[in-house]
Amino acid sequence: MSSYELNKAIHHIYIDRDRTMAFRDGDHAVLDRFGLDESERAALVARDFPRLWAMDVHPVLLFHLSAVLNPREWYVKEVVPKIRDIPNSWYDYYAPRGDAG
Amino acid sequence: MAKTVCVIASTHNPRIFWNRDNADEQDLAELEEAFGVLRAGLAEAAPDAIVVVANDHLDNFFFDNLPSFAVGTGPVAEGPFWYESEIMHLPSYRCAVHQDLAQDVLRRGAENGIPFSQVHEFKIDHAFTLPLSYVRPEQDIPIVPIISNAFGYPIPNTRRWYALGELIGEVIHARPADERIAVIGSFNLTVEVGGPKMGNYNQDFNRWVIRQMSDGAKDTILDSLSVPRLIREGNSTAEFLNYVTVLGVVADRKPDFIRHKPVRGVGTCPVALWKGVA
Repeated sequence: MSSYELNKAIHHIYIDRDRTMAFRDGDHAVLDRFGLDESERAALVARDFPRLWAMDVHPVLLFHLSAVLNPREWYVKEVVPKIRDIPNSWYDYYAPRGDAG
Repeated sequence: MAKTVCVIASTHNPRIFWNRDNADEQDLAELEEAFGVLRAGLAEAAPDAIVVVANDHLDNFFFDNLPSFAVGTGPVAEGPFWYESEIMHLPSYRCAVHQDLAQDVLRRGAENGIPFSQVHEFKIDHAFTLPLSYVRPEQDIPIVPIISNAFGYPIPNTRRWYALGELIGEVIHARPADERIAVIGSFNLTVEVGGPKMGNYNQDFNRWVIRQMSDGAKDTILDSLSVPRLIREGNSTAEFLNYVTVLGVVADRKPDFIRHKPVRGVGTCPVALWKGVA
């Protein structure tokens, strides 16, 4: 669970309406205040949810981000099938699944 | 010794509102009827205050400061958060906080093994606003919000949640004799949010849990439903622990009313009511 800054950036966006709307409109300046590495920033800008899952974003935070950016059922349709075999340390806290490689 | 005049356990399934367009009308009507039973039970009990235990959804709190249990001590409880109102169409709620009772909960917890955080500036998310909107739409009874953590690990074990309920009961018993206090626990059955099992739930497990709830099988629940066991059924199933806190108030008494039929298009929406407990 080392992706603290990434998780924090996501929480910071969805918890505030103005920040969410700016991010939704392609203004990513909000990310500058967090210590994100290049790949984390790229995944957020691309809204690459499976990649964010693999980067250990907390599932609830990830779903909230989707809820404010995407249609209601988008996450179940577009993300859930792609994360089944990808480890996530929050999800696997009690029963780690193997690394799918 | 004050009276615990009514205890309610209620779903806070947001899809009751978010997915309302997909909900089976008959099922939804039956659920509304069940909420009506809770509303009438609470009105009949005429409480002076309501202690509400509900988990935060990483709204108020984040991993820089994530209390297991926090007592809202500010003067007003208001919510939900913007996206819950605007995107999920969840009901708003605004009421006073019973600050004197909140301080009693805080102190007794600190002195007796539930070291609450205290939060003066907070909002209440849908885990509070959804049940409250149904059972007391008048928004005229002050509450004591106890905000629990069911998402950010580690999570207290099941018996600590039960102990929280016992503590709430002790606080009520120590209050002035003429006070009438209700308790609401806001929970869900199996839930997966954001994980790979989202949308697929083990209905056999749900049916088993509901049977224990209906039977007032407190010891079976405490012995069987550890946090890892709950999480195995869905990564947000620790929300059920708010129900365990209700059991700490009512012990092994069966609910006077329970309704657990799923609402097609929405999911499970269990509710239960206990009239005058002690």
